[in-house]
Formats: sequence, C-alpha cells, structure tokens
Amino acid sequence: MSQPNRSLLGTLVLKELHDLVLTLRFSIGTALTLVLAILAAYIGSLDYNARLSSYQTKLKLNHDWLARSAVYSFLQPTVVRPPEPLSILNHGLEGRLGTDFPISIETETTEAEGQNRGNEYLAIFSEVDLTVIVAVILGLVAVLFTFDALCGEREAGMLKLVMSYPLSRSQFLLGKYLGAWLALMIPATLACVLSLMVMEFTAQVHFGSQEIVRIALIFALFALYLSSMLLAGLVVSSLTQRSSVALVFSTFAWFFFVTIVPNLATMIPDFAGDRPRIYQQARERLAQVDKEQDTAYKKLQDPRDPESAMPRDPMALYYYAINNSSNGWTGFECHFGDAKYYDKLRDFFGQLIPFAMRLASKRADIWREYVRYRYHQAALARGISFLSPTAVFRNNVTFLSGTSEVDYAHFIDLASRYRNTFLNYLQGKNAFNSWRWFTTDFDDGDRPWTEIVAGKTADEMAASGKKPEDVLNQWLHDRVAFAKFLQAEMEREKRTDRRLPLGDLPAFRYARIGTGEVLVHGAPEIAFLMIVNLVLFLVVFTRFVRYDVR
Amino acid sequence: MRHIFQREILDQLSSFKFFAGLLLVLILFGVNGAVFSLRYRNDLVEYRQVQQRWEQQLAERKKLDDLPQQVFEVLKTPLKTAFLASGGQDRLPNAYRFTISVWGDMPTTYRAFSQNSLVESFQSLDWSFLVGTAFSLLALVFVYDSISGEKAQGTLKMLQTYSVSRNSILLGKLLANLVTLLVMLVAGMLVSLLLVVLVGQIDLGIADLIHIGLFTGLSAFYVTLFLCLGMLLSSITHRPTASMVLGVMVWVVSIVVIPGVGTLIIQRVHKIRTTNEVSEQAGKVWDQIEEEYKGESSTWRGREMGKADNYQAERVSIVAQNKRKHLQESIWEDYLRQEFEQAKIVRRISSISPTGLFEYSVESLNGTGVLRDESLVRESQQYRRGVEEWIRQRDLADPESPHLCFQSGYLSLASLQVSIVPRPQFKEPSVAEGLSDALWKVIILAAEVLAMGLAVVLTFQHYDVR
Repeated sequence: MSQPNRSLLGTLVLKELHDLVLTLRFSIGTALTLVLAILAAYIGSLDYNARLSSYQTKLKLNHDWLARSAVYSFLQPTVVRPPEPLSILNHGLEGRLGTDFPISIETETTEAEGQNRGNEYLAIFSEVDLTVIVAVILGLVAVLFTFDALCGEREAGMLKLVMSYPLSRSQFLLGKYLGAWLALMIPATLACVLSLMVMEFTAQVHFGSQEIVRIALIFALFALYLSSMLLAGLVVSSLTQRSSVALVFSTFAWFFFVTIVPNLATMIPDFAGDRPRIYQQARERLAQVDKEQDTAYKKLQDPRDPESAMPRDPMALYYYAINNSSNGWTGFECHFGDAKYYDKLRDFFGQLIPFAMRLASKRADIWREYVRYRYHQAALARGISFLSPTAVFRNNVTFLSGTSEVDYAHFIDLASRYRNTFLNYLQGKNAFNSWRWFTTDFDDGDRPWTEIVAGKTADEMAASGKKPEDVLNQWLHDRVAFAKFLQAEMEREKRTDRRLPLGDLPAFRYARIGTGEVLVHGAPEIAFLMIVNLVLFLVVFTRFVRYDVR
Repeated sequence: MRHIFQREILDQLSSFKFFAGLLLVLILFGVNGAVFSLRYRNDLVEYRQVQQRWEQQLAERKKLDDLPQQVFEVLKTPLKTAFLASGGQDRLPNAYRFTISVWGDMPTTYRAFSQNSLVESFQSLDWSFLVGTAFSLLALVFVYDSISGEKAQGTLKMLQTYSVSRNSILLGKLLANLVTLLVMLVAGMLVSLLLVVLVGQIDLGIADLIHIGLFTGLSAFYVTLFLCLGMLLSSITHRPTASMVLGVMVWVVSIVVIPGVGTLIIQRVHKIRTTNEVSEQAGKVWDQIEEEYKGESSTWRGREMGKADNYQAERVSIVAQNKRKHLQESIWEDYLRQEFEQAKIVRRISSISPTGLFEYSVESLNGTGVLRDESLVRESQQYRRGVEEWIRQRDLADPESPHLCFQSGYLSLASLQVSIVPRPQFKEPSVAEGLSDALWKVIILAAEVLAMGLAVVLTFQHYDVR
C-alpha cells in the first residue's frame, strides 16, 4: 500500500506546484522580487565599492600621516574597519556604526567614529536589500499561497474530491506544504543567484570559503523563514471556514509580523528606556574628570606657556622654542629652543603623559558604562523581536552577514588591544622620556633661535640684559632675515630624513568573528524559527484531522 | 442612493471586518499615544539637560576674551505633534553647533541627544505612518468584494432592477465605507490624543489643533483614493479573492517598492560627495592660504609682545585665518544645501506612490521634515551673526583690547556677565509656511483621487453584472 501512496504524494506536490506557478500572485510576486533584488544588488555593490575605496583611502592617509610624523607625540595612527562584503545582502548596522578608531595617548577610544558618512538626512528612509525583499515580499507571497489552501479548496468543492483518494490527511497536508514551499523557493533561489551574479560582476568582492559558508547559511535561513510564513498561512486556512476571512486574517498577520513588530522592537527600548538619565550621568562624571584635569594641570606648571610661569622670568623667552604646533593636550612639536628648555619640557611630559593616560582610562570607563547600557537596549530589542518570525529572521541574517553590533564590539575589542600594543611600542622606544616626543632638534640641524638671530647662546643673551621681546620684534621687522628664516622653515618640512623610523611598528590585523561563534550567537533565533515551524505544522495537522471537508 | 448608502453602512458596521479592524486601529493608536508620550517626556528632559550643560559651560567664561572658545548651540524644541508626523525628528540632527573662534570647528548640524547607534533604525509609528499603511490596507479590505463579491452572490444584478444609476451605486458604497473608516480613524485619534494629553502632558495649542484637523481632511482624501482603487480592482476581476490579492500586491508596490526604489537610486540620480571628499577639499584651503601668505598666515606673539608694534604681524594673520575659515565654511554650507536637496528628491521620488505623497504632504502640513531642518539652519546662522556682532561691539567699547576678531588672547579682558550674552530661540515653522510648502502636494493628491474616481466610474459603466 505504501508504494502507490508515495507516488500519490509526489503527484500531489507536483500538482500543487504546477497550480501555484500559474497564478497571478506567483508571477507578480516573482517579477517584483527579481526586479528589486537585481536593483538592490547592483546599487548595493556600487555602494560597497565606494565604501571600499574610502577604506583604502583612509588606510593610505593613515600610512602617509605616520610616514610624515617627525616626533612621537604626533604619531597617532587610526585603525579602520573594512566594509563587510555580505552587507550587500543585508545592510544591518553597516551604515550606522563608525569605522574609524583613532589611537592616541590622551584618548582611550570606546566608540568608532563614522568619518565618511553619507547624507545623514537620508537616514530616515529604510534601505532595501535582498533580506528585506525576501522578508517582506516573499513573506507576503508565502501567505498568499497558503491562506486558501484548505478553506479555499473546500469552498471550491475540491477538498472532498481529493479526500476520496487513498491519501491520509497528513500526506495531503505535506503535499500542499511541499508544493507551496517548492513554488516559493523558485523566486527565492533565483533572487539569490541573480544577486550573487550581480555582486560578482559589479562589486570588488572576493568570496573566500568563509563567505561561501555564510551565504549558504543565509540561504538556508531564507528557506526556514519562508517555510514558517507558509505554515502561518496554512494555520489561518485551517482555522477559518471562508477564504475571504482567511485572506483578511493572513494579511493582518503579515502586516503585524513585517511592519509593526520590527519597528516596535527598536522603538520601545529607545522611547521608554532610561538612556537620557544614564547619558546625563556619564556626562556629569566626565565634567568632574575635566575639573580634576584642570586643577592637576595647573600644578604641573607647563613650561610651554611663557606668560603663565610663576615667578615670571623676563629672560625666559631666550630659551623658548619659537615654532610650535599642538595637537590636543599631549601632541606638541617645536623647534629652535634651548637645551635647558628642552630638558624642562621632557621632564614635564614625563609627568604629563602617565597622568593623561590615567585620565583617558578613567574617561573610557565612564563612557563604557553608557555603552554597556546601550548593548542592553539592543538585547531588549532582540528579545521583543521574538514576537515575529520576520524580525527574528532578519536579526539572524544580520549576524551571519557580519553587520551586527556583535561584530562591531569585536572590532572595538581588537582595536583597543592594538592601542595597548602601540603604547607598549612607544614605551619600548622610550618615547615618553626623550626629546623626541616633541622635537627633532638638534639632530635635524636646527639650532636655538638666539644663535640664528644673534649668533649667541641663550645664556649669553640672558646675561646681556636685553629684553628678548625687543630682540625678537627687531628680527621680525628685518624683512630680509625673517624671510630667509621662513624659507628655511618651509624647506625643513619637506626633508624625509627627519621622519621617525617606523620599520618595527606592529601593524593592525583585522579578522572577522568565526562562523562557528556567529552561529552560537544566533542559536536562539535559529532554534526559534525551527520550533515555530514545528509548532505551526502540528497546529495545522491537529486542526485538519477534524476539519470538515464537505 | 440613500438606500444604498444606508444598506452598505449597516452591512459594514456590523461585519467582522469592522470589529477586527477597529480593534487593530485602537491598539495601534493606543501604542502610538503611549510611546510618543513617553518619548516627549524623555525629549523634554534631555532638552533641558543639554541647555543646562551649555549654561554651565558658559558660566565659566569670565571675560569677553573667553567667548571665542565657547561652543554655541541652537536646539530644536521637542516637537509636540511628533505623534502626528515626526518627519524623522526623533533621529535626524536636532541642533546646530558653531564656535566663533577663528580656530573653531566648522559649524555643523548634529544630534544633541543621547542615541543608540547599536540598534537599527525604525520607522516612526506616527499617525501619518499608521494611516498611510494600515488604513490603506483596511480600505482595500473593506471594498475588495464590494463589486465582485456582490456579483458572485448574485445581488448585483438585483440592484440593476431598481431604477438606480450605476454612479449612485458607486457613490453610495464609497461614502458608506468612507464614513466607516473615518469612524475608526476618529476613534483611534481620540485614544491616542487622550494618552498624549493625560500621560505625556503635552499641551496642544491652536496651531496643533489646526494641524490635527488638516491631517484628518488629508486622510479622508487618501482613504478615498484607496477605496476607489479597491472598487476599481473589484470591478476588473470577477472573483473577490482575486481582487484582494491584486489589491495587496498594489499596496505593497505603493508602500514598500516605490519608496525603496527611491532610496536605492537617489545616489545615482543625484550624486553628492561624501564627507571625506568634502573634508579633503576643505583641507586644501589650508595649503592655499599658506601659499598666499607665504608663512605669515599664523604668527602669534602673545598680548605683551605684540603690543610693541600694535600687533602688526597678528593683524595679517587674523585676515589670513578669517579668509581661510570663510572659504572652508562655504564649502561645508554648500554640502549641507546639497544634503537637503537630496533628501527632498528622495521624497519626491517616493511621492510617485500615493502613500509617499500622503506622508510627504502630512510632513509639510505639520511643519516638520526638511522644512524644519532648513529652519534650524537658517535661524542658527542668523543667531550666529547676531552673537558675532554683539561681541564685536562690546570689544570695540574697550580701548585696551587689540580688537583681533575672533582670536582668544587678543580681545577685551573686561569682565563679562554671561546673563547678557544673547541666547538662541528656535521658532517653529508657522502654519502658513507649512501650508504653502504642502500646497502642490495636496493638489496632486486631490487630482489623483479624482483620477481614480473617474477610472472606477468608467470601468463600472461597462461591468457585466450578470
């Protein structure tokens, strides 16, 4: 008896498939899906190329900046996160999160900056990618395939006819379901294949084994999600008597899953949470750290500020370096100063730098509490998403495509470790306790300004009793001498021999989270989809067993 | 026609669709009211916090000479009618920041409140969204079987035996369903308003009530359009299920596909530069000024030293740096204008779909959207000019000051009472401004409604009722 049953099931599946493929819903749905998928893949690829070229530009700029640095205090590398190739299939948080992680003594970066943002006024428009198309359009098509699978056939009188065959009810259900699923996988597979083909030809991506595994997993998720939407339609069909009622129910359910829940999930933590208070707390504590910085700084007596030294030494300007540029608090490059002044500077920085690093750490810890709260909000949003298979599906694809907040946290972690590596490197070069922190004198041939102007050392000029302001002003007004000096200064900028030797500077290596780890992280979502499938099928089956087919 | 109207409305008001739909609407509008009440309260708290932080910073400035280092901020006040149409105000930049100092950062718009970039962006479930998506769907649900369903039941040919014209049948059905849907809409709006006023304690003024009235009128237009569309589809197909399926597909195209395509193709249709490229261009200005002033663009000897020759070198430097700043700022202002232009174009492309057009019109009428953002920039620039002039005048009143505007260290050392520093005041776009901004869009929407109505009339004329 089993053999004819199996071929009967096969026939039923094929019949269902054949019937569905000929409907208007199938043709319109497939057409919309494919057109949008190709468009989204093409535009997404072009955007990816733009982001990739921006990334490469930033790498080059960083490299050039480092190569041009003459003193250690200006050696401030920026670590950049490369764009995710799979973001073309699912944008996720790719546009919202920053990619640049600047490294310096006085700042312990906790959040990446988004230096190359697009038009921020477009942020309110939702982006269409393949995942959205599958979730929204194919999700609707799925529901439209099955909402009248049972009640519709009953109305048409077909159900009692089919039930007269030697076919069990479960086999009938399975046939309906499989037929519809196969019909739905046609546009899904075509959309995937076409998207990948467009990506292959347009985007500058290279698919390694990791990417291929992830793409396969994403496709499996498509199949799982579409199956759950099909079953949802079947459930509605088995619970109602009239197909028009089933249609209304199914459409409302789809609307709820696809529009309401995902928006609520991100809206509620944002609107109803406690974030403003925690943000204010963080800002207040940071303001206190600022005050602490101000009072401690005054005690350190910065030798760079000649008008604030106590007691005021009228001859101090003779030792002063007259060409200064600053970058923040600890970034400082100067020239033409006297050795005594440079020693004072070195001692000052020797104290300032550890102090700055301590404060940077303190500020970072304060800000991290705020960031941690935001991760909690993200987790809450993820939790609320379990009200809808669509939201769960999209969250999971975000994990697999490497565009989630988990990947971001991983990047921040790697970049923070690199900062430590970098600081150790500086420590190893004794950068914090040498003149090289702030000047290339006298290795580059620059002498103290008193020698350039008057041919005497700073001590000799101080002994002469003349006011340094008068000497400087006089020299400034000597157009010929001053212009020669300016010219020499501009020449100095171009010399390459005064650059720092950076051959042994460790480079930053970025590696994505492993696929296994991503799967573990997305396990609740995958399990949820599987359970939903199972539960829905059981519900349909139990209902259909007692369904009145007449 | 009155009989048809009465019959239809009784049918609909007692149907399952009505109760299910009413429940859905009440829940959605209830959630809207609750969520936006909480949001407004939070926004108000954050608004005050930002102002307080700014005042604390300002209080540290003891002399006029300190003012160039002060970061000035102009904040948008939280939008009271965000529950109606937020126009992205809960995510877009809501403040304009500038520094007077010649070394200050470029003026920029940014979001002054706390935000969570770790969570994906959402579509605001405001009234404009709810009516735009849910009510259009409801309209289709109510009329998809108005023609093909009655034909299937055989009651349509009976209608023909009465001496009633086809147009009055259509009109009767249209009005009955419109009234039903408006009943649901008003019920939802009342629930939402109750929550907003009681829980959120948002006190609505005359302008806000006018906005609500205009919104109701526009929604009636929009719902009519979809009712006509539903009836049109109903008279094209012969089975009610087919009309609904077709209706849902058209609805998806209107709500999802066309706006989605808009955002996809905007970068190809109207490309603007990225901030990286703009930064690069602005960066070149430094070199340009260096070249022009041959190393004399930035000489600062200090207040004491420069006094000897009345700050000759510094005067050259301040001219150079002011020039540099002005050039860089124009580059960024230009970029901001392009961003606004792009945002408007995306909205125009989305307006190809009636849902996009409806949401765009409501945004304009409510005085939000790009209109509000441009207002912020305009008013902030005005405020900035006012502050600069104020500082300049006070500095001139002090004969001791070198008068190098605006470089800290070279301005008046006279003590300053921060309470007299001019404060910013953000003015919402007026109702008149909103109306004039929305005029064309409302006209086009009305035209679309008329066109759809005509289409139904023409199709139904030739409909075979047997």
